[in-house]
Amino acid sequence: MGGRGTYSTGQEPEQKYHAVGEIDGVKILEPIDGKQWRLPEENHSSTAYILLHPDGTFKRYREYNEDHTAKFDIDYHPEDKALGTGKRPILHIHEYHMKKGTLVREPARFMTEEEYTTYKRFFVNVPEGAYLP
Amino acid sequence: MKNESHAEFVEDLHFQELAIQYKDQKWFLDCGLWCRQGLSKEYPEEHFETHAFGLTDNVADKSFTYVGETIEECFKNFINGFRELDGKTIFEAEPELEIVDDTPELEDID
Repeated sequence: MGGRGTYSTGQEPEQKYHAVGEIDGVKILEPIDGKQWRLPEENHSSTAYILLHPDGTFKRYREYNEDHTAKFDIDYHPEDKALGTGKRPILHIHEYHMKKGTLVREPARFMTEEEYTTYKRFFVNVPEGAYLP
Repeated sequence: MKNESHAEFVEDLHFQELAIQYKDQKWFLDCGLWCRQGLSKEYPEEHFETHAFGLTDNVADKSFTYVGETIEECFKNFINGFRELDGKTIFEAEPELEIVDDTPELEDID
């Protein structure tokens, strides 16, 4: 299933992705082997990346801190367990935090209207208002 | 999916939200979430969670949550407890799993 980035250990992460475009200066990544449909938890060259579904629909936006660790994700997929929104895809956010020296990811939370407006330009082929409960 | 060691498989699940397909089933996995104290009514103390819920119609009514005080304990409970794939653990079924798109439709797997 592939490994994680190792920037925090001083090693260069293995190049598993290449940029296939950009939206408003944010690179769109595609896995080199066509199978690793995920973004690196650490990055070494950009402050944010976008991942699209195979059909070109927005899948994930990940923003990174200055220390290259993940800051938060905006995802578009079902989140019934955390948000109670059933099987329909919904825009939502996962935040990352350092906990005793380890990066942890929090459960999904709803986007605010302000967040939606700020990042809306990245949500390719996502219906209007897809962040609403 | 390629065969991996158990440790590699567990490591690769960290921070992952992914859909997997096993025969005629698709499942969505949300792995290793950190829940701060008070976030969950069911588990009020700080803990880690892994969620698994069905995507295809045949498993759409199924949803599971595995918890642990540490992320390692959470993964252990998930990897040993999730038995929806012909009774196999997810690690045992790994050679027959494919990472797929998180839609309710089955995909053609080579």
